[in-house]
Amino acid sequence: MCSRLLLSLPRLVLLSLLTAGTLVMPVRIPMEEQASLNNAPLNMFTRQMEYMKVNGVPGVLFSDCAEISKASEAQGVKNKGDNGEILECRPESYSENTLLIKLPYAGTNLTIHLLFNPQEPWMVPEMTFSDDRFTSTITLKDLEDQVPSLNEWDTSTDDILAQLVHQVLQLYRGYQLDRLEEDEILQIQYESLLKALKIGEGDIEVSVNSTEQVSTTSSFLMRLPLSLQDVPPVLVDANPGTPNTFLQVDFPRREAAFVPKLHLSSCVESLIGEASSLALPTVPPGIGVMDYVERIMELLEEKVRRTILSFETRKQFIAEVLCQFGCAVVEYDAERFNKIVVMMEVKDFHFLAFISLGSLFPQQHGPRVVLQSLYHNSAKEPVSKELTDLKYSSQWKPEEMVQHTKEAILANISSFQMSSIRTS
Amino acid sequence: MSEEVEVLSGNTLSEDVEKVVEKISNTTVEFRVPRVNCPEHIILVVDVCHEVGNTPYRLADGSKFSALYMVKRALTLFLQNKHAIDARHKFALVLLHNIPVWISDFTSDPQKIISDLELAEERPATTHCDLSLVFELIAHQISLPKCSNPSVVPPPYMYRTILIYGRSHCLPQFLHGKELFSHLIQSPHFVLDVLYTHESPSDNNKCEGIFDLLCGLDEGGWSYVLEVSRNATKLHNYFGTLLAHPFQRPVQKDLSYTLVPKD
Repeated sequence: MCSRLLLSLPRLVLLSLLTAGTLVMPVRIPMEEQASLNNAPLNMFTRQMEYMKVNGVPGVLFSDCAEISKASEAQGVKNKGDNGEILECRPESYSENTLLIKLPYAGTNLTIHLLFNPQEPWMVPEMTFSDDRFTSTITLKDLEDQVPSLNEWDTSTDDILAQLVHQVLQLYRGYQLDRLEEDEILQIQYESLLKALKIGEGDIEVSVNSTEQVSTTSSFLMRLPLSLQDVPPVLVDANPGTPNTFLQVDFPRREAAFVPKLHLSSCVESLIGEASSLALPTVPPGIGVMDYVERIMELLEEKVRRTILSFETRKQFIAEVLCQFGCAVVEYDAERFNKIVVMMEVKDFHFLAFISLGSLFPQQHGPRVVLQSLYHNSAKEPVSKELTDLKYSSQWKPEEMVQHTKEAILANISSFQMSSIRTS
Repeated sequence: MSEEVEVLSGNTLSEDVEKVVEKISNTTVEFRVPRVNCPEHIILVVDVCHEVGNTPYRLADGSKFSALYMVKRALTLFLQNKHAIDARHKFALVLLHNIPVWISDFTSDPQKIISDLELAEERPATTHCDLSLVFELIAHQISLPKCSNPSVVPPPYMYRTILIYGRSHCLPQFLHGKELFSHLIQSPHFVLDVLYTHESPSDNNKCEGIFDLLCGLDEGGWSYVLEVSRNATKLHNYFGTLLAHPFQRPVQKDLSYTLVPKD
């Protein structure tokens, strides 16, 4: 095994030259097509890929965005020769025998290229990376010590790819933290974040880029410890998936202010709104990342508090309606308390009242009330009328809100009765 | 504008409200299922028999309409309103003549049922009405949800049959046994409601006896059994009453809709 790795190192270096500046466009191959490709590496790793689909990609924060594919068949490979001329090189069967594992990391991507020997596809593959500096920095010893799955390569085990990915990521993480030490300011920001947020090293990804390359930025990607423990389970369970809150902070140039980006999983978005709709405060000049992140946390925690408050108030409102109209209730949302329908009678005229609440109740608006007919309809639906003159204050107790709703209904009933006869 | 509403602590308001709600809802029968508005799969059984001498509905403007026509109109509003309350509810249509016929399978599109209903025609009255066949048909068409702990866990859906019976001279009876009916009725996820439309009760018809028989179908006390003579408003009101979700509605004798202004 050792000698094989030794042999592969020059090849590793050669391949890293070959892939420098490559326009790699990974193409996703559907599983059923993969099965029909003879001797293709994807064929061999169906189980391992399935394992990662089910168990997640270990070691990355954005595991949903990881991708495994094969290199496009249409590409050529260009590289610069030693004296600067452009050479073209088409390694035979390059695409057929290469697996690309694209891993999102700290706001960018690290792609692992695994090149398999077509004659012995079960043997340990050659490995290169999209990050050239990383490729040239790591040594054979690093690989031996920290990526032991290369030594114990066994295509029959289901988690061999997962293990490889995990080990490579640990190596990459270490490499990035080493580079961080070269940048004192970023290093201080990083350590203060860990301390202030009380998060572990596994909750933050760092990508440090050389300041000579103006177009690249350094980034932090961190998992914010936003607690949803007080949120009623019925609201959390409405959306599947792990509730994750990530903040990405890009540092474009040493002197310029950092740029924050919020990423929320769909579970969290269903509770507090989409990430794009949450206005992040502007970054004041000179502020440390840690202080800014604390402000973001306050903003998010406030949103969660409002979601809980809205739910509780809706529940109380519905309970109050049931209290006053329990003998006339038709149907109500008994899980999220967003709606209640009641049947009412005024001077022998019977009708329905649809009362809707929603997540912006009570802070931003009151109940929405629609009167609906039991007698008159158009082709599609019964005649209805929405009340527009409902008095409301978010300061009122639910009892007052219900009382005002009742008064608004009474005030509108004759006109509703008249208009339903006319409309139908 | 975005002031916070004080969340009442100590749950005093909620406790009072809870007590009142309990009192209203749990009078004679204990609730067998949690009061959750799960989707309803509603089987509408519409009697299309027209008996000789049936009187029509007479409206205030002098127009006259047959009993079946009126039921179709009121049922259309029922379907549209029920769909507006919750689009997950589904409907199936059975027409009852000498035998029940399954016309439309479950659909959440009320328009489909309304269209099929439009095509239903009155048929001459038969000498008997066999309820065994109705419940046999229903039992074969549906699949009761399996629930491990029905008093705690809401089912994914429940079934409600609304029998709209329109004869004043023919007693509905179980001519082939009640086993399937009993099997359905014992399930907490199957509810039967009845709406009886009839001639004015008199010595010349059997309206009262038929109504007693239909009331007898309410074995558990969960059903709504309603009756109306040729009053169009009342017919529509009762279809309104039938909109109520069986798991959340009050028992029939507690129904009260009057909106009283605060003095």
